[in-house]
Amino acid sequence: MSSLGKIFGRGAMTNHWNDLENSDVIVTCGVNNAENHPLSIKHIDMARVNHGATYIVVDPRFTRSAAVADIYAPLRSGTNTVFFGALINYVIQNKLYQEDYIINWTTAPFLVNPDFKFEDGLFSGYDPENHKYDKSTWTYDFENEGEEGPAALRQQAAATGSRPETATADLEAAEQAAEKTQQEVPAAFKYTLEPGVPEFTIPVHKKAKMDETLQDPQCVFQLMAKQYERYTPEMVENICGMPQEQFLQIAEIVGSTGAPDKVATFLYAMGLTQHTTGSQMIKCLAMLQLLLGNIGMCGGGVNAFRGESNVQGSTDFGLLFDQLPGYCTLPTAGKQNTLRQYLETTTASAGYYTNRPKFVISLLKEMYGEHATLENDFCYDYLPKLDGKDHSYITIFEHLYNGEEDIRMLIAGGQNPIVGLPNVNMVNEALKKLEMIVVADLWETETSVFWKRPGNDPASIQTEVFLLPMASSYEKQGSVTNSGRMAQWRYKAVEPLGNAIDDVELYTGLYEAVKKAYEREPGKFDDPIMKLSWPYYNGQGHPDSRLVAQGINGYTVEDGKLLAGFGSLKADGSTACGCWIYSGYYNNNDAKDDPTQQPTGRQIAEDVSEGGGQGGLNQYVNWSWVWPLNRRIIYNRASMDKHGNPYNPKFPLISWDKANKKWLRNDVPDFGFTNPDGSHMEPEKTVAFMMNEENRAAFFTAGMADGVFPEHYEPVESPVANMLSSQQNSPLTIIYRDDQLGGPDEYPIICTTYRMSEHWQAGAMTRNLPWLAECQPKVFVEMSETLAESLGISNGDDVEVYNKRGSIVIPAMITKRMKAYNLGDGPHEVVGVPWNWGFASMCAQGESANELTPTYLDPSSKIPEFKAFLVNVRKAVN
Amino acid sequence: MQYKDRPLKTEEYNRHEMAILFDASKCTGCKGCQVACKQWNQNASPVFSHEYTFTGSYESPLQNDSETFLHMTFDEYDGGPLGVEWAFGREACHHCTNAGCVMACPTGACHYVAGGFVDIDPEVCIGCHYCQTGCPFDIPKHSVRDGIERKCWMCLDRLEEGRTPACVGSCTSNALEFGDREVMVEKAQARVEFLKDRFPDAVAYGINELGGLHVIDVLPYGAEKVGLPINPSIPFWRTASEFLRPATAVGVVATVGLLAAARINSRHYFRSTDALEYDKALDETFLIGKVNQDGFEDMPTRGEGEFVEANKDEILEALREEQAQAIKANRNLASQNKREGDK
Repeated sequence: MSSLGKIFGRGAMTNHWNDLENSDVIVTCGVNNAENHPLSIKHIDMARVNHGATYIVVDPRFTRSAAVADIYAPLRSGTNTVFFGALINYVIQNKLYQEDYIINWTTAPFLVNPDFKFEDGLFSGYDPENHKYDKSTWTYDFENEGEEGPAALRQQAAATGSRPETATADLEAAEQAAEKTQQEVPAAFKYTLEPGVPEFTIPVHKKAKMDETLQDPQCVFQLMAKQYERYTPEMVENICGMPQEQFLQIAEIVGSTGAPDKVATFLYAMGLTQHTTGSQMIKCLAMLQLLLGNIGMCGGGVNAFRGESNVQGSTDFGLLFDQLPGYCTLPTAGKQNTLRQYLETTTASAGYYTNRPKFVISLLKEMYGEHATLENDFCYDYLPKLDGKDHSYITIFEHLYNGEEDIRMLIAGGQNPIVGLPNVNMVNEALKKLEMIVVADLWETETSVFWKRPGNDPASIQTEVFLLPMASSYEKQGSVTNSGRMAQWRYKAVEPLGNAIDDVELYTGLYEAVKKAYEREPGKFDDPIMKLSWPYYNGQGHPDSRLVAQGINGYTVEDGKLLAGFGSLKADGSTACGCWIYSGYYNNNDAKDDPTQQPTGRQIAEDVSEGGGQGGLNQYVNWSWVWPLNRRIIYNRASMDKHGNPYNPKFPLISWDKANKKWLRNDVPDFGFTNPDGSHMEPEKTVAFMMNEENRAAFFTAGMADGVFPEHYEPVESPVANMLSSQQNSPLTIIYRDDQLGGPDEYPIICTTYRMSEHWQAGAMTRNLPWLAECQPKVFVEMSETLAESLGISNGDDVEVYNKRGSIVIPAMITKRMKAYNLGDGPHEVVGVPWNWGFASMCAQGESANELTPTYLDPSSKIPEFKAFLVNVRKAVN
Repeated sequence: MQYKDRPLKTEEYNRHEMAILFDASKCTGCKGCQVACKQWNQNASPVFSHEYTFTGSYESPLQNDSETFLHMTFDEYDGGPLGVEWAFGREACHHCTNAGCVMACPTGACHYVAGGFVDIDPEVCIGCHYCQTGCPFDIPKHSVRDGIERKCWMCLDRLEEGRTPACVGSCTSNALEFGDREVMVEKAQARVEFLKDRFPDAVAYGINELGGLHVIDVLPYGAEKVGLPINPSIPFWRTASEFLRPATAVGVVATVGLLAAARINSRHYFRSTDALEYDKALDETFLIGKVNQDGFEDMPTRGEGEFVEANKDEILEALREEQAQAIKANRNLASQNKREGDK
């Protein structure tokens, strides 16, 4: 998500499940979708049956996805950037990119700061002492600053966009004002002049110089070509272990989708994210898809499969430590002490984020209600401020383990850190230091009985543990957001068992309890809790998800009327909205109590038109609701050329009817398409990637911590040296527990961890149910026949898999599906251990693979390198 | 009751043969069908971690049994268009036209059903294992708990409601389909044609075997690689029991006649026996009292003891209520623990 946000403007799956049926080429690289997202196979099969799509699987192991593929190719875990980079190189060298697309919709023609350089694995501005980049050279080469003529104003007005059912009064006022004061405030920022809007200095838009012939050596396109020159098929074979002929076979098929009427989709999940270079891998894939013109198209996209039914919802609502709902960032102390500073540093100079103040102020208004006024900066001071340091999940446990922070209590809501985190032996020690643990779960998870972990002495552990029974998904109501950004309402089918409660009750209960505690004894600064607005109680004194949904959707403060969508949000405190990207999902004022009458609860299964289109393109626009604004395929302006003609006439998702001057739509346009007078906007005025300041998809991104273009670095624990530069690892990788780092001399075998079809995550759900546990009751290590032979192991023998972080004794599954990688310097063996097992549960206990995994984190996403590290294996002694 | 071709409520099945089509080339071995079958039939699985051992592969459990009507098999070979041939198989009753189990069954419990299916009537079955020995695929399995043979019964209750078998309904990869057998055969043959380029050993298994099976398997790697017998046949001596049955019948009549004579002769000699009442709803057998030559003994009576039948009902009612409470409190444990001694 952190990388897709930088390149496209939003971090989310670009297309959706049903749309897979529209693809010509489907590539699984970084996910095992047949096992972990089984329904994806149904849609992929439809694509193959209906129009002969090709299904390619690239994976470190021969998985059940590979078993049904047309082509399977091996790829050493952690080398995906080499594979994607080589595909980029192939596409550029063979001129297979979609030229019209990249010139119009991306920053390919932009010129870059002449001081920007890349050399031997490092970008310009690297400070080797502090392991940081000074990014001042990571910019475009700008034209004269600040010139905003009428044409630019109009473009910006178009860019801020009218949405369906939006208050067009905004834009009208802006246009009128532009006529009067053309040299003053840009149209996009006219709203800041209205009364009630806090004052802040509007960022000045700087336009980059362009070369639309893509020849200038300092243009983004040429820099990209140069970056990937080294990524040859030979490198793919030597680094990834994928034979050259196989790579070229895949490259030819993928490259063919650069044609306007052919499209490829790439599927990924933890196989790309769980690396120290994960964010860059994903960005590399996104760049490839942009080059091929596959973003915004039916059957195209970069499709992240989320691993939990509602994790998309979690990230949408800012569950990460540095986020606010709707992907706004939490303020940082020092840089954003005041609301003014915050608005000045987070509002874009162009693109849709010129509206940032409207989202944040409406959020503050929802949080603090009547307490939030213009005079007190809408209670901005009550927001916690970041201290510039990392406080992500693994870092917290690191601090806890080291005794570096005063952390006394853990609340684990549907989370099982002693099974799911890396380096669980360390996690075990960390948990012992807590005064109290509260586990809110359906099951007695390993974390909730951690003192019983084999090897622990319960008498010496002082932690007090509470286990709160929680309702399961059929015992509560609310929306769940899937990978395709679809927020479907779920209903309560049965009452929870015993004392189990719904999450809304739990967190409301905690809030009430903390509030009462402060009433008894005021705290140093308890206003942020005491002044919270909590209007979510129904008539019976219980919190109700439907009321929360209304808060999320947004409403006018004065009359409580639900807003049509985020286009109606204001920066003057007259609107409240809990999460701007969800605005529009629960907006029917005539049926506030009835989710079936709300967009989220719609169940119209006909594949109809959105307006003027012919339907039948697998978009299902009337089934439930998708963020943003029910746009099923985001960036869909890029499915057409400059004049509104679909690139692929077989899938005219949206098209411009020149004769009638109307947009014919099978999806909600992800661009402003109406004029203030209600007429439809001409295609040449519209923008495809409005969430970016450049209003284009950005190949060249300064927003990522560790580089502008993705560059291959080896996993922190790797058996080989980096063949592409002398920079072995990403320079900004976060490394904890380096005393437990194992080198290839002692630990020559590559290890990867993963999930199985038969189990769910940390296993509480499946290892406590006999029918499910029976499908795979025992944990195991998969290894090749060659490795087994060299160790003298037969199938089923117990083996010890170990490194400096831990040691587990589990049976060996010897299989033809695992094979050593033939790298440049010879064969390197690999083993795989599924991590779904733990020491608790009724039906299927087993050792945790996460005893072996490391706490090395991707600098942007803070996700650990679960997928590639080193171990050794030996036959277990009895 | 005449069991041959027992008709079903759904008229379509009385006129057409139906079949499951299993396309292993689309199967991802996810075992969703395996679990759906367990759930629909409310079959049991081992409960505790120590009851399980490592199976050596993704196959689990390794065998069908009286509580497992269906399980998926996983066989690996080198070679093939993907470099590895991972052959997924489906081990369950094939519902044969010429079914060895039906031929072997001495009581007629194992019988043909309209549509081409084979079902074992649990109320007639005596648990003699003959069906298992007559089956070329070793499918019917003995249930120690119930004393009968059990196997896939094509979810006849679902079919009667216009639904597909549970396994078919659960498949996420379009590998399972249920419909008119002729149509399933056509589809299988077309699919094999399509597969032959990449999978030269591809076959459609079940078109003619044993008179035609009502589960058609499309197998990209061939039948042997998933452990299915080529040209399966039923042992001669099993088929022989078909015409031996009349002879058996004569013998049975004679035996019964002699026993009846002995009974009549011995009517003066009585001992108490247990009066057992089986309650179908609860699937439980209750001991109501003891029976002797005068009727029920050791039972509470009303008045002069004449309302014995009414007493029986009252007692049954009370026992049912008690059982219902116990079940409510220990829902899973009750049925799971019955499994002991079974595998």
